[in-house]
Amino acid sequence: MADFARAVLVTFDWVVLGYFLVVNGIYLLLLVSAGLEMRTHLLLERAERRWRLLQSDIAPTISVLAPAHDEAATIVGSVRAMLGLSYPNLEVVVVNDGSTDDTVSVLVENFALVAIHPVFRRQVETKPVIALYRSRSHPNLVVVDKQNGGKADALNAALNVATGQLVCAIDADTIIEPEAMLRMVRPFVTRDDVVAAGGTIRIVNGSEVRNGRVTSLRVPRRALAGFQVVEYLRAFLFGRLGWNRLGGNLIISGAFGLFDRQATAEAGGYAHDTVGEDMELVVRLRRRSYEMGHPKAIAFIPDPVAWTEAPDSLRVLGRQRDRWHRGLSDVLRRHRRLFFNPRYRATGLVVYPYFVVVELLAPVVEALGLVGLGIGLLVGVVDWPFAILFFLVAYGLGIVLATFTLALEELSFHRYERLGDRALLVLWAVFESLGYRQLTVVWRLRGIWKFLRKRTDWGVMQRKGFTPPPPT
Amino acid sequence: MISRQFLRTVLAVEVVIAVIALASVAIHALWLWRRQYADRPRLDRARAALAEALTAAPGDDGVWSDRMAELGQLHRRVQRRVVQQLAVAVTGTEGRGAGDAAEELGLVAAARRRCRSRRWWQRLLGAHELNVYGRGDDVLPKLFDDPHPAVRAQVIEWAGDTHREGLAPRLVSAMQDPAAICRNTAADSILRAGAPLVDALTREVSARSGQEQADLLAVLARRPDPRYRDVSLTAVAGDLPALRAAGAAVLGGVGGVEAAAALRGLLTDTDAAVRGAAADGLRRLEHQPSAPDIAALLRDPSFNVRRAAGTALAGLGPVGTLLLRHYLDDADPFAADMARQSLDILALGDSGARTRPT
Repeated sequence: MADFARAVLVTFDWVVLGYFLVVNGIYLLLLVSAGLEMRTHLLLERAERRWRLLQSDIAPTISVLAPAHDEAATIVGSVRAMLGLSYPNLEVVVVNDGSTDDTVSVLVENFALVAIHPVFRRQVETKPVIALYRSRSHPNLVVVDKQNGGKADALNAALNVATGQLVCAIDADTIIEPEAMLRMVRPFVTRDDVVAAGGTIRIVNGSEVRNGRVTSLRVPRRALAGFQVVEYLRAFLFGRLGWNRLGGNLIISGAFGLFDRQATAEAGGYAHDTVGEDMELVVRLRRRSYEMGHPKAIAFIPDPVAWTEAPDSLRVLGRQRDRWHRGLSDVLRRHRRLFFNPRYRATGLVVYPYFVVVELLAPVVEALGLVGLGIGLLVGVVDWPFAILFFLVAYGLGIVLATFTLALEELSFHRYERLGDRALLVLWAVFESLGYRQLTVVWRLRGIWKFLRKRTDWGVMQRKGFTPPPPT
Repeated sequence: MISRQFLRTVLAVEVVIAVIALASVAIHALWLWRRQYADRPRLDRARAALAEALTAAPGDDGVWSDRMAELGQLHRRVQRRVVQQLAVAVTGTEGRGAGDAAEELGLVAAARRRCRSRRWWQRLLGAHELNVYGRGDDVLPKLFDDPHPAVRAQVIEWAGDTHREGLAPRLVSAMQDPAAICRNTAADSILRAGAPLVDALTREVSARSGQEQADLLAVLARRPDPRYRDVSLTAVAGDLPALRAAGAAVLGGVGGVEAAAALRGLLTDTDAAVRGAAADGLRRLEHQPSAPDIAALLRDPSFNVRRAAGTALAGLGPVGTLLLRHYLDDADPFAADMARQSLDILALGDSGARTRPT
């Protein structure tokens, strides 16, 4: 029995080692790629008068799409913030997705809305539109009142009504940087092949927010939010930036993304029956562009463009991560035709397999590794010094990536101005791998399990709201 | 089993990388912190000195040379920052003064050297600086054919800012650049250049044909000038739909009897974009006699044309309103719908705000 266990563990060891080498090879590539991409970005940024191009008459028109469901208490502030975004040709399309509260009447009252005959191009099928409003006080504001159909359906209704060349999907609880639009539109102005663009989303917990703006940026003092700050920095500045140079971005955050309206509508808009509708749309846009014979790119800009509130309880965070992993599983299943398919070039041969092997299966391999290590210790095949060494190597990689990302942030944007905040960030980066990371493995495994059981619920996301400034 | 030696080696590499990364964070944070505090008084001093030099009485060379000497003692980074800040903020005599200061401090010479660098980003920064200082006539034209698109875009921007007729052909040619950033910068520079370049642009647009002419006319339509009328009248008779649409957009901005007649003729064009552009052009001319022809477009199979027609009628005053009311009972439900929405929007008092040139 001991011999058999030893043989299994030895084989498993080599499998894990092989996996480790492949994953690290990709990470190394991404590290180098992210560093080079950031350098190019910063060098181009230094010739800052290029910004005037983005404020000129030739800048593309943008429609901001804002779905709202039972948001009577916050909708006025959100819409005012959107109308106040710095961009020359901006339209705001708010969709009331069958609210049961006073969302519509609050909007009508505050923005002098008047009902107009609802005529628009029905490019994407949605639940019936009840009414269409335009504002006397804000000519660039349009409000759609429709039957409840969920967030994706509301976004599709907004897509039908929007007139901008580009559409921007924004979550109602996201704080947008004042110059975010000007930064986000840049890839569309500087390149011909961009179909969608995303930017860095950061965590606002612990910072001071005044009138919809982050006025004092701080690193959260609470560990859970602090770990997520490191996680977000790693995901955006290392992962997405690295893939950007290699042409392999497949994700744009649902909190803030910019899309080519025509291409999005022609692709059928947002999918209703998935919890990962933002990633699904991006993958579909890319896939479709290959099938149409004109491959398009998903651009990522490293500049911080939006701020979001991270969950600060394990329960809520667990639900969020489980939903994200279910979404990832579902999107990869839907587009399984891409897997090692040369028709989709690098996306099929490199990027999609990466998402399957590294992003989707990482928690499985990690969990098996931990379990294998535990069994090995129990049956005496593995001794404690080896187990500790193995553990340190495996999680040391996480620390390496986190510290590299912090270095990238420090050398580029260095948005955390206080030395104490930077030191705290380093602390969270070092301790993130001890406990928190293992928890995310459990949540992601739960996501895979629920996906296999075809669960499609979103779960409840409770937010505390942004920190008001201290009384003066 | 995996050898311990292998794991130890990997762990050592990880530790080295993490330590280097953390050290770079710490060193950079401290360096920034120190520079922030050290630069502040220097920047204040430099700003004060430059302001004093620029506002000194004409002919008071003593103050100028004293202040320049004072600025010359500061770090090149501080000099560059202060002079650039001022140069982009002021125009006229002070703007030229900022350029003179840059010249005297050696910043212009340094930027010229950068323009000759083998590194694209050095050339970009050099071109950017010369553009800001209002210098570089001798160096920048050579960079029109630079291999890097960002450098070319910077030079195109400079060409637009100089308002020199001789550079108009280069600006127009840049609209066919393979890089989108160059094409868009060229379009923007043409629009910003404005009146001083109109004659040169008229010659350029007349000398071109096909898609190239259509692209340029589409840009010129945003700042229409009567001098573009003749070439636009020729364009609307062309074979290319994009050319006819661009010509119609220009004619809608310049007006005239011939322009109105040409636009009216385009309402029955085979291409939907041309019909839409013609309806929009007639709205801009407020050409009421063509209202019945525009109203017929409410039955157009293209949504965009119906919308353009509805918006145009809403902008044509009582005649348009009357026709929209008439179409409320039209047998074509699409025409009736569009008429109704156009009347609703007209009642809001913002007709014309809906359709923006794209």
